Amino acid sequence: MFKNLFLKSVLKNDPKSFWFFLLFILLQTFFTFKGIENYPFFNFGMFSGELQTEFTTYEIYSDGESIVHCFSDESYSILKRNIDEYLRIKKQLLTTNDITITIKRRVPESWVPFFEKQLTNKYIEDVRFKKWVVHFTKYQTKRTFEHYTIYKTTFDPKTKYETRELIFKE
Amino acid sequence: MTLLFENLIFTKRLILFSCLLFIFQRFLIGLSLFGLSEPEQIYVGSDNTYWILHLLNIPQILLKTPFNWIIDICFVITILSQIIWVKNKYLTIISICLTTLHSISFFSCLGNQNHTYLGILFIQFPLIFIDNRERFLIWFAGLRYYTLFLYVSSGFWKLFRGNLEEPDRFMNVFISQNIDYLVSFDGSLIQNILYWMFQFSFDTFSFFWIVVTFFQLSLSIGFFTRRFDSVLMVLIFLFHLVSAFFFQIWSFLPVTILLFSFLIKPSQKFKRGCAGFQIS
Repeated sequence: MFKNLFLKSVLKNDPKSFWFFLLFILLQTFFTFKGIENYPFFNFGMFSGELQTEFTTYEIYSDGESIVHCFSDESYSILKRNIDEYLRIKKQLLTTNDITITIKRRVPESWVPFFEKQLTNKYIEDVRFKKWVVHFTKYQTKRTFEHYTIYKTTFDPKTKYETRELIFKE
Repeated sequence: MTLLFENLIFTKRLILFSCLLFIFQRFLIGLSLFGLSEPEQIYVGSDNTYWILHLLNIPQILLKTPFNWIIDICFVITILSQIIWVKNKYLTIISICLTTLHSISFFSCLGNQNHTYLGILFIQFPLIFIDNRERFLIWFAGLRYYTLFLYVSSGFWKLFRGNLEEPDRFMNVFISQNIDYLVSFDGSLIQNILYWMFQFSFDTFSFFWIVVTFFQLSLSIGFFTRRFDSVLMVLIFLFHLVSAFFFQIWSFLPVTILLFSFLIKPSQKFKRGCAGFQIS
């Protein structure tokens, strides 16, 4: 069975490539078992992770008109994730995969403020973030507008009922 | 088909041209560093490579004007110049570095869970060895195993995380991926499909997730034989199309570029362990 093993043939024909492949396989295996990603060693969970039970999204209106359909799919998810993260910081919610916990575990205490400044969004300014939302939305939708409103919408599949909560209004 | 890929220069050009198409398509819909409009927030996860680059302030600088459009243009130009000066391996190495910088900077804004540029990154490694036929073919054979690993490992993740014991997982993923269609797009096809599905219990559709898991696990046949490669290629491509149309995972579509590794085959001699390569 192992007569035609790929790596064995590589070792015979091209030892340099063999050692490179072996190193890659070892590192990939290590990171896969640790369950973390380190570019370029990726893990491919494909939605096998935590089960989502609450279905929330954001709706964005400019001058009273919904402009969700003007975004491309990925650009809209960029906006949604950014609003999510912003609200999370404002509410000081610590989720299990919060990066500050990892920082405190990995580096000495005196370094924590520097790491937090470089790697987290703890020091985000409201005005700058809202300005980015407008810039990004205008660029991605190719529209100009004066006022905008963003709602957080929760959808309940059992009742097909939507609940809306106002996030920003400018 | 394999005859076409006997010409390594043609192969390299075709692959790079496909990379260019994917990049252009993304840039045109505004998914470039410039299109991110100088984001204020970053997400690095627990990825050490991201950590090092962010501690050195590199992605933060690259996301600001004018560096963002300079990197965008350089990224396209290095790939384009490889198509012209096809035998220059240093261009390929520069291009790999730029792909890394571009992809890390881009996904710092989105979280590092997207593997959009993975295909474009990995397919360029064998292309470095354009002047060494044997090594070129070995690396493509290796890349084929990596491509298989990508899907098979996903099947194992599903299996070991106990996904098969959660009957409502398929519907949960389906709804959360299409939530905007439920909320903002009235009368769309996906909305109609979802409303039809809501008539049944969530557990009714659990077999879809089992099918996906076993499909991904069954791709492991590719580790043992190349006989079914054409079938596997078609199946993987369909898998990407279905996930793009029904689950809105368009960002994963450029990974299909890795399927080129199925078309480039080492010779029979290689399998017997002799020196020297030919394309079979």
